[in-house]
Amino acid sequence: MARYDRIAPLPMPDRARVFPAWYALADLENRERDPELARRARLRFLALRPVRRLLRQGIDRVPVESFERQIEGVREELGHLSARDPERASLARFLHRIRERTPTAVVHATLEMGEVIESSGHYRAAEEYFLTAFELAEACGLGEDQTTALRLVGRLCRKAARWDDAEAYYRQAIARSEAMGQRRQWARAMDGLAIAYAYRGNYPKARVLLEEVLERGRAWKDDYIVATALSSLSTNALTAGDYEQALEYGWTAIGLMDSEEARHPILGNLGRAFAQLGLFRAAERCYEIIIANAREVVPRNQAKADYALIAAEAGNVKEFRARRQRLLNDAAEWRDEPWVSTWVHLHVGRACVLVGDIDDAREHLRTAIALASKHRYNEQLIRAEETIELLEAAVAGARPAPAAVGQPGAVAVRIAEEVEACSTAALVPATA
Amino acid sequence: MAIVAALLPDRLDREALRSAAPPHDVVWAESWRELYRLVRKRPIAAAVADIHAEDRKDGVLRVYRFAQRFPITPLIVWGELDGRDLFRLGKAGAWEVVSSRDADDEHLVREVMHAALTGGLAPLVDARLRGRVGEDGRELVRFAAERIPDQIQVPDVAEAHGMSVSTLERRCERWGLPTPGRLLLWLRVLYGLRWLLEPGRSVESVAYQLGYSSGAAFRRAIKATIGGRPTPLRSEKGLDRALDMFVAECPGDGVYERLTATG
Repeated sequence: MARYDRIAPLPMPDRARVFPAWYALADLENRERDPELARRARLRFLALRPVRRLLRQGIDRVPVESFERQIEGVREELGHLSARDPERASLARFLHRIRERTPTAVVHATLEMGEVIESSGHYRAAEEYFLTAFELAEACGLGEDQTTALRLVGRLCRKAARWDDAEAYYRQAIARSEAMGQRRQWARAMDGLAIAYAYRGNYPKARVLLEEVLERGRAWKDDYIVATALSSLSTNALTAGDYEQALEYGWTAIGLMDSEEARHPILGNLGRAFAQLGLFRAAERCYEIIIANAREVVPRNQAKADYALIAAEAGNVKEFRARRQRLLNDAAEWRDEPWVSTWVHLHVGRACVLVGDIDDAREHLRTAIALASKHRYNEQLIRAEETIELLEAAVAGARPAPAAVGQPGAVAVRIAEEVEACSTAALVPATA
Repeated sequence: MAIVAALLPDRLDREALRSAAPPHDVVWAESWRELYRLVRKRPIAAAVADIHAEDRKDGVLRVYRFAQRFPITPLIVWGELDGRDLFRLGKAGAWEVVSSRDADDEHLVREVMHAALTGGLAPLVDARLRGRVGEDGRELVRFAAERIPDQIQVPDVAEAHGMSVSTLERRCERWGLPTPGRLLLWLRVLYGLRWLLEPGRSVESVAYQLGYSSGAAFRRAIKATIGGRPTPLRSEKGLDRALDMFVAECPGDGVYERLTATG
């Protein structure tokens, strides 16, 4: 091995033993020669350093002039990212907000920046932002923000399949929120832990946790908590293959959600459950409602991809191709959002497999795999790889077994009728 | 005050460090080799180095070697650092970094220096004495521990606290500390043992750094406090045991026991 490579094989240092904010660079592990990532990681590191400084010295003990100068220096370097890069604007916003130097502003800005980085799949850097926010919130006695930060680290560890770490952080968030009487934070942390169990296939344990949240939410007469629990119970039932139950929980949750945007993820799940039961018209209705009402790019385009997939699942080849074409015509809307872009290619790719558009399927799935690998969207990567294997097997002559479609029960049929009766303009469940 | 060893070829960098360093002293090295030698030979509390100080040499690898030889001496890396440099520096064991852009911000550099120099023996000893010795006694021990590299003597401690040596002796007795002479002897030994955790330092060099005339004199000091020879004590466990023995010689002033007893 060449001498200049001696550092690369060294193990990752312990966070407590390395200089402040270093973990914002840690996504460079095994990729340290990627110049684009190195530039990005450096800016994240430099941007977090003023916050680490406030944490080390104490907010009041850092001279304003010196702090401003440090921030200005980072701002001047933002030009190393392309003007079209959304992270550049996010970093500029972050730097602007931390200039306020109030604990709340700094902690909130750090958490939000962490979420931006997390969405790029750079989990180590995001973790460093969340942990810094947590430490500052703890030092300044901001109880709510402490639990939020711990919960976000738990979520991130869950995404990175670091199950033990995820559980440890969620349990800390649960214990702290309970001790501080933060009911909603407690519910969200319990919810996160339940999802972690569900991801590992332990649906019964997830269900027990969620039922405890539901029970307490009802005792506290808190619709938000009840709706959160029902929504997650719906997701849990859906992944466990209990579609009827998923519909029942989800439809009740929708009636309790106070914002239109909060209903969309649940509607998305309902759409999937309807499709699994062969209730394609109701499934389409779910996605139509989301497409018509979602203001954000991610849920709207996610729904558009699923809307196309439903047509393929229902065997409506002509309609699928038309929907796919519309989605591709609007690619400018979602192309720059890596997560939704991966989702679109994966789901449209799956649909192409179903209708026999082999070349298109291969292209979509390969793009999905490339994006998921680059941004570390593990779940989507696994699903895309499975689908492309099915595709190649089909090309080789082995016909894939058709997806099992369950028989809808009375509850599912009733809910399907109610969903179909809803207008796309406003979702008002009759029975929820 | 502490001594900082620095390898900064650029004149402006030297000026920036010089203006941020006081009250600490800076000694200058011209090469990595000289920096290692300074830390080995002199009571250096922290080091500062520009990773681009020597052409055609991997500065990060030099940092790694420094951290291997002197794992408890903070090394602050200075210079124009790209993302890969920063990443590798963390793995190599750099204690802190100051980018060229921030180098002339005196406040920032001073903060970094202060943080690097406030580690060391004093907080370790202070943590052990907490709950046993009152604040006044601990303040005296902290003061003395921070000045061991300056080869402080009992009259200096007394003078710094505005009292005579005999008053200082009475105060030490009241605070439940060993006599001032014995306290300094202990702190020198503990300081030396902590330095001996670094493979780059020898018993002889540590003895010299602490003001002993020879390695044998330092060995005698160890024998008079802990008993035995220094070599078996060259581990975290050895230092830990020595700290326990020191604390056992500090009966404390009983303030904390009384507080506990009266609720």
